[in-house]
Formats: sequence, C-alpha cells, structure tokens
Amino acid sequence: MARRRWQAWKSLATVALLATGCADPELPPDGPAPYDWKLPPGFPTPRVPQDNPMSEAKVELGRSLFYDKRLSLNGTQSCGSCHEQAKAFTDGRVHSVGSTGQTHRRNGQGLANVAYATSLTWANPALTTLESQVLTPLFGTEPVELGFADQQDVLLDRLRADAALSARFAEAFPDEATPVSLATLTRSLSAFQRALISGTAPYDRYLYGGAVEALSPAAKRGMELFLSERLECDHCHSGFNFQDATVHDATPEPILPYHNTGLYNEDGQGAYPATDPGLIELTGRPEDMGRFRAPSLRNVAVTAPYMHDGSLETLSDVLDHYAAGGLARASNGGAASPLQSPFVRGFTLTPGEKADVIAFLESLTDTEFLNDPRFADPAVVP
Amino acid sequence: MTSVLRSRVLLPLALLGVVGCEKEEPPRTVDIPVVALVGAEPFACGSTYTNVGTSKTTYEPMDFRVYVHDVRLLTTDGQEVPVTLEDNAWQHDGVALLDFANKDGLCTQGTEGMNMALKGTVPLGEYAGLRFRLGVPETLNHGDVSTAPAPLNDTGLFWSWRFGYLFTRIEGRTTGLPKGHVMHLGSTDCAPPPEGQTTGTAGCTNNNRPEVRLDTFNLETGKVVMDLGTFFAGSNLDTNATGTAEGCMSSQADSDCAPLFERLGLGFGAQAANPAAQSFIRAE
Repeated sequence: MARRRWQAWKSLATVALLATGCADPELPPDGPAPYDWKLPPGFPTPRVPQDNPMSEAKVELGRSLFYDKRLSLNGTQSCGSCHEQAKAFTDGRVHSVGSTGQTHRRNGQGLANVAYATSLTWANPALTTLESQVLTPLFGTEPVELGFADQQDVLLDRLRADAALSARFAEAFPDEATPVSLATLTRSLSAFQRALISGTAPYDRYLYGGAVEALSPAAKRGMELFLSERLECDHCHSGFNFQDATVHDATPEPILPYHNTGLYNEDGQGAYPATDPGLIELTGRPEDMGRFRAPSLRNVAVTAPYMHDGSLETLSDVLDHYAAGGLARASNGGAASPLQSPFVRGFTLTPGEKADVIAFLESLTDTEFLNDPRFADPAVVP
Repeated sequence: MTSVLRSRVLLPLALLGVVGCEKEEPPRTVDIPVVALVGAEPFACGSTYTNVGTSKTTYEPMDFRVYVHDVRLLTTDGQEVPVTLEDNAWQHDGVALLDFANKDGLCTQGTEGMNMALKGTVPLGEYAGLRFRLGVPETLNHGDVSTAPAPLNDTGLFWSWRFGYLFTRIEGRTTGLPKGHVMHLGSTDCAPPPEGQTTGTAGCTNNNRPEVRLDTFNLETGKVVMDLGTFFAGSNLDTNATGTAEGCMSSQADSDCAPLFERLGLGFGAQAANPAAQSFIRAE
C-alpha cells in the first residue's frame, strides 16, 4: 500500500514538473514510468483513486478487457458492444440492449472524459468512481447487461484460464498476490476508461490552438448563443467538459448536481413516468423527481438519440425541447413543471440561429478521438 | 486489513498493561447455533413447503442468506455485553453471514458451503439473553465489494446500483411467482459520500437494520431460529404489486414490503418501527 501511494504521489509530482517544464526526476530503478495522460491544452489532471494509480500496462490491459466478449456470461457482448468508439462510446440506440436481449430503460451514455465525471450514470449519486460503477454492467439483473450475477467465479476462472492474459494482469498489478481478481478487473477497466480523454475538437483548436479558422462563422455565432443568457445552456453544460458535474485533481469540493428539464409532467405536479422517475428513486426526496445528471456535450453530434430515455432523436429536437421551456408544457396548458430547473425557461430561435447553435455543437466533435488507435479494439487495431 | 488484525492482537496486551500483574480471566467461548425453519419443518434447498403465507402457496427455496452484526449477550441483571466475533471465512470485523443454502434444488446461487452458527468470545458472566442486528453496519456497508474480505466479498449479496449490501437474500419459487419471490433487505435512500470522501454515504433515510431481542436465551442449550413461516405469515407470495420487484427489495413504494417490514419490527411508510413486533426470529 505504502509503496503504491508513493507511486501515485510520484506520478502527480512528475505531471506537475512536466507542466512546469522541468526535467523528469530520477525514478527508482524498479518503479514504473509515470503515466502520461497526453492532456489537451487547458485540461486539468483527472482525479484518480488512491488505490488505482494509472499505468500504461493497466490501461492497455483494460483496453483488451473492454473489447473482450468473455466479459459477458454468454460470450456475445463486451463493454465495447454498447460503447462504440466511432459514436464517442455510445451505441446509437434509443435504449441499450444487454447480452441476453433485455432492454435497458435508459439511453447508453458516452465515455469520453468520463474521468472528469463527479458521478457516473444518469442519476446515481452513490456511484462516484468508475471502479464502483463497473459492477452494475457486470453483475446487474435489472436489466441483465453482461450477465454475471451470482457467476463471479465463472468470470474469474475464465480469465485465469488464459495464461497470456493472466501474465498481463500480473504485469499490470505487480503487487497483487492474486493477479486476476474482481478488484484488478474493475481497476484495469477503470484505468482504460480514464484514459479516454477527448479535447482536440475544432472548438479546442480554436480556443487553445490559436486556430482562428477552426470554427466556422456559423459555429462562432452558435457559441455566442450557447453562452448567452437567452439560452442558458452553459449553466448545466459548463466548463471545459460542458458538464457541471465535473471534478478533477484540484477540485476542492466536488458537486453532484442533477436537474429536471421539464421533459415530463404527468400530473401537473411534475411527475415523471413511473418506469423512470430519476434521482428520487435512490434518494427518496420528493424534490428529486425527474432529476438527472447533465451529460457532457463533447462529441454530442455523434451520440444521438438524446435524453435519459433516448426520447429525442436529433439535436434539433433537443433545442425544440429547451425552446419550449420543457416539452411537457404542451400537455399542461403551457404551464411549467413546478419541479423543473429555473434555467429551462424557454426561448425563441430563428431557423438561422438554430442552425448556428447546431453548428457550434458539431464543433465539439473530436474526430481524432473517435479514430484514436489507442482506444480502438486491439484485435482490430493492434 | 492488517491494522484490524493488529489491533485485535494489541488490545489484550494493552489491557494487560493496564491491569498490571493481575491475572486476566480467559474469556468464555460462545458458539450459538442458528437454524432455519419453514413453519414446523427444517429449511433445506431442494425441499418443497406447502401452506406458506396468506394464500397457502407452495414455496421452493432458491436462496437464504442473512447478515448479522452487533451481537450482544444480556446479563441476568439486564446489562448488554458485546460478543467479540472471531474472524473466519464467515465472520469479519463483527459481521457474520448466516448461510442456509447449499447448491441443492433451485439454490444455484452463492456457495455450496453453509454457516449456521455465531462464534466468538465474551467475558465470564451469567447470561440470560441475546441481542443482535440484521445487516451490515454502515461503516462497512458502502465499501468496495471487490476488495472486501469474506464474507463481504460476494457480489451476489451486493446491490451495485444502491452501492450497499443485501442484508437478507431470501428467495423461493411459488405457485404464483414462478420466477421467484425475493426478500432483499437493505439500506435505501442513501445520501452521497460525505465531503472529502469518494465512497461511503453521509447517511441513509432508511437504514433497515432490525434489532432482534431474544431476552430469554439459554447460552448452554439455546438456539436462534429464523422461521420463514412466521416471516411470510402476513404476505401473499402468489401476487406482486404492479410495477414493483417480484417480492420486496426494500422499496418504500412497494406495498409487498409492508407485512414483511412489520414482522422485522421495522418502520414502513406510515407504519412506525416496533422492535417488539419482530416475529421472523425467535429463541428456542
């Protein structure tokens, strides 16, 4: 433990040194090289759990496991089945479908910059680390995703039976007496996901790269609208990651915000459909009805459909929802839900302005990230 | 975990230091049997039970595991004395997993092995009663199941989305619910981790750790009885409230939980907690 904590400190210190342009300090002869995040300009260092410091071996192992269909009980799905790189690690479906054919009630979320998310999934304040989140797809039963509920030994025996893979576990986790375990599996998958950093979109080149021409005139006008008091988009989609629920290494106090956007109001009191009432399901607090986490907008043009239930097909539909001040107003005589965010007030956009906002959102598409061989299936791109 | 072990070793030494040259009384070993019944019959995977619950249904076990902690003995003059549970494959840090299910019949989950006793030590004394709580204490309930030692290492006893343990996993096939009636007890409506922590909780609205008071218990000859017959006495196991888990997963919105929580002595909705009404577990 002590040694590992020291390594974490060492890599942090090294990142800090690199940032200030100093030479790499001497490493102990047996110590691993500090992890190079390859952070885009303006990006802070992600927060990493103390018991899972980043390493290249761990990330590479996690990458293999992420695309390995042995991670579903019936061998039909990997993590990558519902998280496709070309779609910024979403699946293009309204609702994701698990390995046994069960349909999830929610829209599968992307993984770009998930390292910076304060909490994981649409509405779960308990899941604040990727290590804890990964248990749900592996072992969950409502719905069944990868299908290992009560079959943990099958999963581990399967991985241990592969000598080459076991050796890679041992290399990535040199201090572990049992190299292949649930803990090393969840940690390597989490390390790979933390490495999925997207920050080289046209918007980034414009903002940090001095590439004035990276944004079209339409996208620049759209950016002004996005940031305007008229639209209020950036209250929830704020900061470098376009997500308010963002945390990094230097965040003093992470926040866990959730919002009701007035998408539904079934009883005039703000009720969401009983099949998915949102945050209230886990907190029991009436004010949490219909609240969900605002997703990051990076690569949003390739992650359709939208909202927690995939009910909005296009970015144009999403803008219509917010322009209406919440779609549910239409069925409530124009009245807002008493529970919806005060920032969802409604606005009017000309067709030209709407096209500009969409042009700006498209400028958050990071083609380099979507095609980065470091994040691809190693069976396809070694 | 070594720190816990170390403290176990050091504590008696520290006590010795305090009492100086006086001889320390060796503690008394306790080994309390816990048996499972369905009414008058012993519980066993592979058996079929009839006349269970209000609809007199047939019940075929699929699982029966229960966590307990905070085990205390009651002296003849009514003082509570904590039992120090030994650390073994079924007990860790004061928590014990009671496991009445092997792999027979429909019991395909969990382990072949079973555990039907609470083992530990108490100071010498005259004892007349036994008390404990169901569940896992909050300090251990929201940790990392992937690194926790046995018996806290089974993902089948962990609600990953609620991020806490199932205090009871009692499941069986009935005539009306062929996929199985489940009774999963656990903490619900839990707050995010406290400031400065990435795991754990700042507290749960419904802790759901029932207090079990067996105030007449003979430590020499007595046993703890967990009886599904009395537990299900107020429940119709053939029906399920629409739109809820098949059985009860501790949701306050699931009316199927009301009679079960009542028999655990727990509050549910408008029903106040009443430990005296606990009728699932008794002493014999």
